[in-house]
Amino acid sequence: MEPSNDVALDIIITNVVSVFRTRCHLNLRTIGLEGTNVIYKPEVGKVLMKLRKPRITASIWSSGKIICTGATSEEEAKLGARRLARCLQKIGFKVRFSDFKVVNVLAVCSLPFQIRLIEFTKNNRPIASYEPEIHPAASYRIKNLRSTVQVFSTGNITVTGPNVQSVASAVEQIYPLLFECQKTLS
Amino acid sequence: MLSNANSLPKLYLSVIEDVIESIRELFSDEGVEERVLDNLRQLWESKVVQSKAVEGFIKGNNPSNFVLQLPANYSQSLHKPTVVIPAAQNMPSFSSKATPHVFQSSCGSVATFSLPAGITYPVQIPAGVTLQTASGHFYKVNVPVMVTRGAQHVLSHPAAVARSSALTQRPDPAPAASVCETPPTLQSADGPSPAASDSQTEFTLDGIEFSPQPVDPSAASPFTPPAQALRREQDTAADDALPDLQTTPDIKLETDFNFNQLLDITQLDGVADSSSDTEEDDDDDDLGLVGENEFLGMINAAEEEELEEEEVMTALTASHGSGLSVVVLFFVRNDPLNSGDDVSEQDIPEIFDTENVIVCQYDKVKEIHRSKNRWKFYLKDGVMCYGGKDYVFSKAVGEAEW
Repeated sequence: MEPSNDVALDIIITNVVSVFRTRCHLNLRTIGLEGTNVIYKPEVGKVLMKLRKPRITASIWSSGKIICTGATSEEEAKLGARRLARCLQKIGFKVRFSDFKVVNVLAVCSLPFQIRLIEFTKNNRPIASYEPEIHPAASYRIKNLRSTVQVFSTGNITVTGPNVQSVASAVEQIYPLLFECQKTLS
Repeated sequence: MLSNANSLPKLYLSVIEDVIESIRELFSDEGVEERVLDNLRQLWESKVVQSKAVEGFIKGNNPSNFVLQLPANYSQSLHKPTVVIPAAQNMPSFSSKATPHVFQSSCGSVATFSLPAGITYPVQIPAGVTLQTASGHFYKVNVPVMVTRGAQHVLSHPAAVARSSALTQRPDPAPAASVCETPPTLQSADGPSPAASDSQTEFTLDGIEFSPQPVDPSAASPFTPPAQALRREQDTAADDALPDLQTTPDIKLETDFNFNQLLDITQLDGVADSSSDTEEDDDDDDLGLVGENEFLGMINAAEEEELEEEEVMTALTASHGSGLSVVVLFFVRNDPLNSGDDVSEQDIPEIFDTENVIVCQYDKVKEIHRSKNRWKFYLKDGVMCYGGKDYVFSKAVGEAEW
């Protein structure tokens, strides 16, 4: 069974998480009062600011660290982070946009076949682990890519990695392995 | 909405009233003329009318057809909401009337106001009487009214004004000074109604006597507190010979309301969609940040070391939804800092210049169904401007999507 390389797989990036720092202390209460589209959570000590344009949600801490989630691409994540910093700047803080990094990318992919997870796990020990009682998916860690793929028996997989490139590579890498263990009626 | 439309003008009028009155002293202290204050008031009112935010704001509304607005707590003090229209004669002695009555007219806006506290209620005021309350408002009674103690409201009944009862008034002005009220003018209708003309109308008020006094609305008239004077009058006078009322058409209708009671009256039933995006307190769990604490822990630990180093850490977060989400941290050598100048972005378009605005206090604002941007608003004590119209509410519930 040879893995087919002609299949065009649709890898859909669903979430890009990024962080950056403003290099200045932020008064959460001020942001909560004067910012638009903000949710102040004093019990946790952070402010959530949601943006519409790139649809992102940012968690803002008083230390100036900001985590940005919800973007659908790396560029969008950066754009959204900058917009956010701009918002804070407008409120009046001496914000600098520094240390922006994408820390996590989550993508999903739907394979055109179902997968025999037990067989897959057996073939790929110890990189793959499968504990059906805990979680219905088998997880496959690709160390050099620092990515993790979760494989479901339906053929859907989710991939998380530090950037989009590694995610794409992970899918490519795992496809042949999954192809071997597909649930065909033969 | 009908009730809303009716009481809102009064509400606004009362607000204007209160403000003007409270700053009157300040103005005079500063040496600013009364005229300026009146100007301010006129400007204010004309602006409100122009904005068409409130229906029926015309000062001194149409006399024809008033609707009675009963505040929510009014009925407590009232025994029965009957329709009582005193005959167009002199008042029968109302001492026998122990229970306050409520007037209910067919339609139109009602003028409600409070009378000086000193009056023993219930008091029946015949038409054509000009009353002045402690706060200095003038009322001209076009139609005999019954003043009830209960909610301290006077419900005026416009009706057939022309045939208002004959009023007898005390003639001489001398005791006028001591008497609180100049012949008050309660005008549900502004301007000239036949009975309310300059012609001397008399009224008989049992126990309450008024003396005529040329009313000069522009000037600050000296009035002693109504209460005292009234009591005095009550003691002295039996009934009879009341001074001739000289009503001046200059007196405008100014209604005084118990603000709180008004708020009780108007309630927006059902769901009032809020049109403004006010996201205040929220108790929703943020989505997509599972394991954030651990994540943070990673960051913090890493930050302690120099950022120039490359560090890789992984953290397993709790399983959530569709499986384990692994957070991988990867530190790069410091990028050249983009200084603050670069951060400038085209602003997210300001979408808050919408016409619909709500100004209020909130009880609770929460997000429902974290994944969708659905919000629920529990609001209180507010004013809403929607579609150019103003609405006042004491409670509002709304749902919206962000």
